[in-house]
Amino acid sequence: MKKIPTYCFMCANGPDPLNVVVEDGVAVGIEPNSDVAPYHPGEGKLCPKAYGLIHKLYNPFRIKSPLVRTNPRKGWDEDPKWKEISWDEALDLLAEKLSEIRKKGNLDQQGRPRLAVTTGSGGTPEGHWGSFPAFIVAFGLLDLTVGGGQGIKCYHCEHVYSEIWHRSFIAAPDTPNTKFVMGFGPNVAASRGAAGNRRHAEARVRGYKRIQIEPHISATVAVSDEWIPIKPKTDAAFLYAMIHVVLHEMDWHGVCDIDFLKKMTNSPYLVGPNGYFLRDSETKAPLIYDPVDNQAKVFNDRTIKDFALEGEFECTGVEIGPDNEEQRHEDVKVKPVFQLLLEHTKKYTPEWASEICDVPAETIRKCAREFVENSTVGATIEIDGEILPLRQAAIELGKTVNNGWGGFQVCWARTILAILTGSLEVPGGTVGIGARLNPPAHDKWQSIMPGPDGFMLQHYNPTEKGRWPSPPHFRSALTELTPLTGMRGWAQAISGTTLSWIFMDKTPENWPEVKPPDVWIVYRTNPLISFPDRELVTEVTKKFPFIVSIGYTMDETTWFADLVLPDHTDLEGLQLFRLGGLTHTFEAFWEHYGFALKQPVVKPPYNTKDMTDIWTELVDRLGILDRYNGAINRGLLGAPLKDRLEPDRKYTSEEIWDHVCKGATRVLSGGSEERDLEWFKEHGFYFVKFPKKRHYLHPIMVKWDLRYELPYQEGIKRVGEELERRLHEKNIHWWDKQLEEYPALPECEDFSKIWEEFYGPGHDLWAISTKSALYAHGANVANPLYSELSKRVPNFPGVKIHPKTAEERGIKDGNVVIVEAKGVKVEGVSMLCEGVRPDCVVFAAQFGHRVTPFAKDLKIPNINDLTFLDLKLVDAIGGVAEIARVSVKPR
Amino acid sequence: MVMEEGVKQINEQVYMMAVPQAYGHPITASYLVKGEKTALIEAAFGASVPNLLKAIEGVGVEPADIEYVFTTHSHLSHASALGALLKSCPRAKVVAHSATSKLLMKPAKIMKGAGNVLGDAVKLFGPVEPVPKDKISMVSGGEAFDLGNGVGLEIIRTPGHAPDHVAIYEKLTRTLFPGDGVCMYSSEIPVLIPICWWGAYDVEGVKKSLGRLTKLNLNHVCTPHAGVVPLDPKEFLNKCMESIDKWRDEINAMLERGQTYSGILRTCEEEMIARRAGYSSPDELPEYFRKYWLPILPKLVVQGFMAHILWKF
Repeated sequence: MKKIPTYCFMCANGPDPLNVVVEDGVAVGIEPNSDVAPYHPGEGKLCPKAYGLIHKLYNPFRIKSPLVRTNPRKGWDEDPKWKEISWDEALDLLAEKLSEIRKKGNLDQQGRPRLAVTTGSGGTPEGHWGSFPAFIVAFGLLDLTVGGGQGIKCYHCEHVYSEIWHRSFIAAPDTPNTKFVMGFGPNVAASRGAAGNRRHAEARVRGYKRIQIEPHISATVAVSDEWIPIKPKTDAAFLYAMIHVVLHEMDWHGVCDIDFLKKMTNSPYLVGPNGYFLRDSETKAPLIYDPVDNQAKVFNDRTIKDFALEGEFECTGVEIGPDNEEQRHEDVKVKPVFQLLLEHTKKYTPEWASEICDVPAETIRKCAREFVENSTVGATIEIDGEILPLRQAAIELGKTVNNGWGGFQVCWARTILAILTGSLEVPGGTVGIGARLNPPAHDKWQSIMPGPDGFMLQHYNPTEKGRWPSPPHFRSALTELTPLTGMRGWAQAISGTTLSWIFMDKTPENWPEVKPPDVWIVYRTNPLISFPDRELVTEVTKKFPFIVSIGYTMDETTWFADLVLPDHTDLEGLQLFRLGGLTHTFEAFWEHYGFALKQPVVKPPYNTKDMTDIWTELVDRLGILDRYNGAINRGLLGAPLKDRLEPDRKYTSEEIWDHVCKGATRVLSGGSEERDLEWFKEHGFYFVKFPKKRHYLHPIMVKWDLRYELPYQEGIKRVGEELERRLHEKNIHWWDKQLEEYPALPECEDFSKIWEEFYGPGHDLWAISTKSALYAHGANVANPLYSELSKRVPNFPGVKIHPKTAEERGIKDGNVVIVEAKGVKVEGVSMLCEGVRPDCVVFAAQFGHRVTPFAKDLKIPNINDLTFLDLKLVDAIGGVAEIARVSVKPR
Repeated sequence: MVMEEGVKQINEQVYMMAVPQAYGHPITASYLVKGEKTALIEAAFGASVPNLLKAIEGVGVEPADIEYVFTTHSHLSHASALGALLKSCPRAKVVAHSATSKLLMKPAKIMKGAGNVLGDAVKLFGPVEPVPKDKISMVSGGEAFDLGNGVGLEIIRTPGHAPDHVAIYEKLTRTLFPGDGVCMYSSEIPVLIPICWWGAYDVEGVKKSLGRLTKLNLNHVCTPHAGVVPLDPKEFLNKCMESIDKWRDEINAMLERGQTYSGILRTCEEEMIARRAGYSSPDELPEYFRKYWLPILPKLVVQGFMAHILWKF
């Protein structure tokens, strides 16, 4: 018997190092790797999901060799008539298709990439896709915007807006230091893995309080102190009312972090009559008002004695509007941003919100007070020898809460509460976990750069006259329609990928035709399950000329593929991957960072292939090996190489990762140590210390003298007005509703009405979805072990419905019910439960399989069948919410 | 031969061409090297191409006869004129590091990077036109280009200021064209100012590259932004190395004392540049320096060293 170190990376919390027990060449068990305990925030413990890796390896339903489709007709009722082929035949076929693209040029006649690649959520494919990054560089431009569901319906608004505000792809409470957390929907107990749950458990022992605000009792509600059952998609109103309480019912001078507002935000900046900052006529820098010297000064003037937050002043200066249009003002009346915020939030009373959210006004008041009290304004803590503010209250957001209409307002309001109390990016408060749109992801201190007006530099796609639209063009139109996503890091993947599918289905008026890619490669994702509006996505998929699925078992998307390439599973493949520090998607607050090795633990039982070998074979056939090896040399696989790969030599996966192991350890050790592949095979991981203070942006913001671009969104307003001009110049008006979502101070409304209006009368219930720990982040449905364990989770996996609602409809526990939305019907088994609002039904995410072995027999409905890809439901950054209005009746 | 304003003969083979550019003052000097064949080193602003062409003609060279245009790296003040210049130099091949070359072919990335750092000042450089692939000769260090009559240019790899940076050495006259791999130093501003660009300044890389250059037996060091160095070449290169350490240590000390970016920037402008150069305040600095360099150079230096210090784990 031997124990082989490797990692589990089946959800966004990974990778987590573990050991595989192997006897006589057979993997027989999974164990925590006790060697990693000193470095791992969960002391090396694993979540139950990791134990399914053995089943995954030996699953008899795996695709066991490359397959080619012989039936050109595609449909649910069309047997693809798969034919087994050799790897050489399969790679020759794909190389031939890719070679055709290269001959024609990477871009089609509309200027969009002919090759599209779609991968799954949470960054997990990165830990398995081998040398894919080097393939991208070698191949050239490809389209990553034909989405698989991730991004647009996960934490979409947070991904985009929180990255703008504080380089936060995901915002989380600083769990190790916080005392009070309000969770608007995030099911953290189900989805934060072993390390996250360990952090939460430690916080509970320490006595922290958690209030969970969502329409049903999730796993997280079960470990919270208080549950507030809110009406779906009304969270923004709740948060706006909390701001109102702080600013208009409490003594804000006494409870807010005034110093933070004056020095770390744009609260004191003066706003001109057109809604843009009033600027110094000569330097064009924003002005503030100094109430001691009674005069306007440039925001960073050394002589400033104090910053006015309230009042109205007569000042002279210029405003810079869209397209750099300047307007001069002499002795014009202007107000500081904070004064405008006070006026803006006056109307959002708890009583107003109560009507919308169906939550008592007093409950909202109580939450606001508790949030402020726990924020401990004025407290400090020493971290890594530096004295930092300590604010022990935070708010975190769930998926459906922060995507689609209302998501922007939710994110803005949450962040405003954080700046009012100075709890943004400081210990105990709301902090970002890595920056994915502003690389590098592993160090957010490097993700900011001083920009104009005292803010960090933003990287929006250009909207100014003459610079819009800026090539290259993608199917999701991120350089045309969603400029705030920028073009860096994961921008393509989290752009409005809804638009790719909507436009490929039907090109809108005055828009260049959007054709499917010549070749579409799908890896570790199943858009025909995970994307909204399955019917539309299925019909569009049928139009794709050549689909390649790099697949594990047959699944719904693979069913429509032309070529199927089975790669090694998690226990067979080879890859070195970065972990620890800020590299993880969610809150784990690692205090070390480094690299871990995924390695083959047994001889692969089937005719599958390592991902790196697949890419190497392809670039060799395409004649671009030199570019591929060059990219690896430069560090595309995690670290630059000292011993460089020769340009035209074809290396094996082992040889490539051996070079990367050496490069990575040299980088981490500052050149003093070098560990090769054999060393990693024995030890599994290499860590160095990660400074705790680098979890917070505050220290680096202070060093650079930067302010958060909050609460006033002057930059976003300018981008929106420019985009409106550009689109209207081309007579495009179908994006007008989205153009309204570029305000300097966002208005709040009852966003739930958007869905009520869209679905129309006859749909009297809300359908929402939830996840279990075992199915979070997907790709596990073919594994019977998870189904077995999930049945032990209460109320899983039927259609959860309140007993009173069920009784009104003649539904009993265990009945088959029909859930209908706009003529589309799905069936599920009712599970009566008082822990759900009477106006909601809850679906387990995500099932509804027709092809995937084992899962297809579970008969669990998919909410995506009841959601629709329609511009009326798509927000300004292309996101949608996984929510529907439905009717429910017994079958 | 009527030499244009800003043109100066450095030695038998080398002419400096510091022609009017932004604000009417030269920001980057190009150098013409004459053998049987002619080469130009550094191509500055797109908007200054007509002035540069006149200067070349002024020393008796037809632009159409230029064989090579060398650029030390891809930054705008070194490469932005290349695309436009080639239209008047049809024989010329651009000699650049392979990484530089990729950017020259698609200059939008150069413009974007420069825009992030320079803001509106980027407009001064004029339009940047792409360089066709077949007009580029890619180098990686160690290559030699024979201009005839004993004149020859060698490529020396000098990463540090930028990862794709190279220096060029003319062996007959023992003239070095170090690009931005050295400090700025002139008789008007006699302070050694490291030239940084946004990102963590690669202190060790620059020093290593400088160490490589000190092994050359040099007569002249011809810099792009401050002309011919008025110091003994070896002494200058050694002083550059010392100076880079000194700047880093001083900025590190300020950070440790709790100072932040704007305060350090002020100290840099007032003390580390103006006073050390013999001026009582930045307002007293020569007009061209005040107008063009003062808003940019101290910012780049402080940002470069701060990032170098703060980004380190």
